[in-house]
Amino acid sequence: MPQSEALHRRNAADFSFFAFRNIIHRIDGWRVAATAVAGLVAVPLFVIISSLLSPTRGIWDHLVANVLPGILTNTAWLVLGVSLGTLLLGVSLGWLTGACDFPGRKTFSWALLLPLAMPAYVLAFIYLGLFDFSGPVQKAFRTYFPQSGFSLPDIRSTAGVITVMVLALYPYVYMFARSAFMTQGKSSLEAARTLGLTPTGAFFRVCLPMARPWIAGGLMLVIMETLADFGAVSIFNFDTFTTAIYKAWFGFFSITAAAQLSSVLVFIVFSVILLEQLSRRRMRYTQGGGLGLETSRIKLVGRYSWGAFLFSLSVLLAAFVLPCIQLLLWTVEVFHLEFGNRYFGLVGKTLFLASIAALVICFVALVLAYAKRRHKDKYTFGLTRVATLGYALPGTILAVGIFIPVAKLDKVIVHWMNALFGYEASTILQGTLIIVFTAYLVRFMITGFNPIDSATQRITPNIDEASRLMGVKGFSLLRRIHIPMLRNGLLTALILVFVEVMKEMPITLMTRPFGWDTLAVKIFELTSEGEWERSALPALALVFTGLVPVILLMRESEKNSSR
Amino acid sequence: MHPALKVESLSKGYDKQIVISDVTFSLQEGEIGCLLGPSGSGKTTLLRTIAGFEQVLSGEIWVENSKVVSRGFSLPPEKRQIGMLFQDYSLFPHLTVFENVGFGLRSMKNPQKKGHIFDLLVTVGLEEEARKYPHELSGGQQQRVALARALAPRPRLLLLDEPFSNLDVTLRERLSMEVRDIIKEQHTTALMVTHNQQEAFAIADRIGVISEGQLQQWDSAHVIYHIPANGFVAAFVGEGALLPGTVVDSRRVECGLGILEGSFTSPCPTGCSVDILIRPEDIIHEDDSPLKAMVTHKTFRGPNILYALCLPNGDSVLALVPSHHRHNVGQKIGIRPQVEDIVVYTRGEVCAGIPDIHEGHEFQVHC
Repeated sequence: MPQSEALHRRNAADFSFFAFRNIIHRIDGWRVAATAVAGLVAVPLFVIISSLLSPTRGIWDHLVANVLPGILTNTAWLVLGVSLGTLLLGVSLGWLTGACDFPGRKTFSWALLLPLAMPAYVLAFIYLGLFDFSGPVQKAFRTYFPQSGFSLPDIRSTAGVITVMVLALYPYVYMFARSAFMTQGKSSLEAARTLGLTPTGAFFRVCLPMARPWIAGGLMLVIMETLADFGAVSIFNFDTFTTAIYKAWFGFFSITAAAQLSSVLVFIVFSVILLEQLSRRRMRYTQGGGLGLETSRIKLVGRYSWGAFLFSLSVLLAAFVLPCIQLLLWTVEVFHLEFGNRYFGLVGKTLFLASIAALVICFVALVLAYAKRRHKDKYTFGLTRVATLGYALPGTILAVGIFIPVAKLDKVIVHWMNALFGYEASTILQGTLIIVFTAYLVRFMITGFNPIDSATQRITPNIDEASRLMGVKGFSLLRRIHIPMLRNGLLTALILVFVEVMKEMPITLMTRPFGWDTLAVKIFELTSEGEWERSALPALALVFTGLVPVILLMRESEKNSSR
Repeated sequence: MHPALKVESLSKGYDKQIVISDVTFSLQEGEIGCLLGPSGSGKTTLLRTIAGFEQVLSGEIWVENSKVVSRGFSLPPEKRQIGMLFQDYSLFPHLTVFENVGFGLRSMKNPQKKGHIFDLLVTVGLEEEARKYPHELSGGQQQRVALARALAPRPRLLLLDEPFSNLDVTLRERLSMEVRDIIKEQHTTALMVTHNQQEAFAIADRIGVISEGQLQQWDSAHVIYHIPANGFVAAFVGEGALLPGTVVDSRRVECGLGILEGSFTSPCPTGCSVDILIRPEDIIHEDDSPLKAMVTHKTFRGPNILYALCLPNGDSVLALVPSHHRHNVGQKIGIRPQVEDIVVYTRGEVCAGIPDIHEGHEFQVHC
């Protein structure tokens, strides 16, 4: 039957034509760019994970025998202690400011976010400086109680690191817990009361369980930050994975050992992310009625109200106000010595790195966001997820994971350059800013992507169609609709990335070319010699810039709560 | 016998603004009451005051034979033994249907408790969903869980805060009947708040019409509709028009429809100026009637058509006419008034500025 055969053939031709068109359609610029970014993020992950799968016998045995037990115990204690501490502070403060009413409640509800502006390593060296044996607190204690025979607890201890990290990180739990308590709707609380529970009973049996997914989300952030922290633990000489990775590379010059340590940490980090995703899934089902507790806050009276006030005040003092005062005092002390050309040099390099990184990252994030907007399919969505995965990788790991492939690539390039042009060089990419920026890009992609993505989401296809109907399209559409609608999101993204890069320590420390010291790196060098006072000036600059995103965050939450 | 709920001279305000003023009413055991009023009238506040979530300025609330609110005293909500069905249901998302219903039964021992919860789930028809979580249920199912949860501790009084407002219209009617049956089956006294009069008519034994914090009338649905206590109630409940008229004698009144004869709802002296409530069903369409009125507006309602008519003297009335009688705007049709009880308000008693709440029908219009 020739006819049907012809038909069949034509169908086949059609089919292959459509398949081809489909592929062409799939390979467009946006997707290619998104794939490239996702690939870039995947490389360090792949490098690190593959080093777990192919351990180098001798090194691995040495690590298992001498390094891993210590840092695993330390990490476990640190994570446990910081989790408990941040839960305690975050949930109680979140409840007090989110659902209750007491004098100063409004001020505390934003002021308690301020510690977010202070990098953990800054808080760490301030606390060491304050409470060390030769610090002002211990000295005063010895002066006033010379023969008490009693001594203050040593700040250089597990408890000391945990305290500092709790004070630096509790705002994450606080923020999430507070918004959960505020959005869960007063009627849940009221429903529990009509069913015979006292306000306290209702808190433990209804409000707390309902807020659990949010609190867990905040806690996961805390744990990730704790695992990724390099600065604070190294100031305390408290060995964890991150410091061990640093020492393996820069102390023993064994990048292989660093990579293998990293692989263990990556494993732990990804377990945490998995837990976080699970808790998020439950969050969707626990949305509150949205009525908010605003009209029926629990009025605290008498000693409860004073207790709440004093508790919030002491947390705020310990985590932010007193450290800031100490920083200022130290700064005044050393100002005439430190404030000069060398300091300007540091600031200049920091600003340069941060602003270039912010521009590059936000540009790439914009491309990703448009790719996601253009193609609402699983593949593109998956690409954006992979491309923003880098936030999970602690800086130390990223430094290792990017250095290794670049070094390999470098060898190849050097070889070919030599072979083709007779160009003699030992390295081409290594020791350049390219490595630093690549690492920043991978690590802070999500910081830039989230605000830009939510801004692009607001430009719905209907908006494009509506303006096209009115004859606005192409570049004019971009100029008159897209850019104005994206402006705030872009600006937020730029600021957030800028500040993150400024505060960043391990990546810069480990991958910077010679002479590219930033404020954070300077703090690392000064604090490792115990020069607390001299660290104060660069630290103060970081705290000030760190305040900008915190203020943005406060304004955002203000807007949400007044809705 | 004590009424199941007694509210006496209750007043409440926020910062000088009076929200509820001098409200008094009572519900007998097993009765279903309904507070009906426009939004912002204070009806929800009244309900929340009875539940114990709001404090009063003055007045008393009794539930059965115990005083829950009086001067300077307010029993905390958890001690009042009052159940509440919330507008958003407020099911606990972290608990299953079974656990939600059992939440208020902490003092009950287990085998008995399980049986009780299961009985209630059978009553509301959700025994199959006992192990599901609230988010896995439809809106109607969630509401029935909330009802079962509120009924489980056998409250002395059940409060319902706009219980059907989150459901779509088709579900609403069916569910309101179901809820009524369940409440009646449990012999529970209930008080509901709504702004929807159809809902109130369908469920309530007694209806209280509230406006601006004042209870305008507390009566059965029949009385509220047919003998509204004042112009506000007349305007808020049902449709109709107020016609100005003059009392001729003790049984007759003259107005744009001619002379109407019947018994007055309230006595008026001869010669007095009054407003007469004319419901759309009081106007009968008769082609050969000498009284003609011009159609100024028409709304098709399926079985019948609502016509707005202009009377010869320029006053306007509404008429409900079977929908096979089709007339065009501008046409004159014959009508005959049919009223036995004449609802009259002496002039001035009618509230000034009646809100425009009836799908755009002006209440007292001239054409």
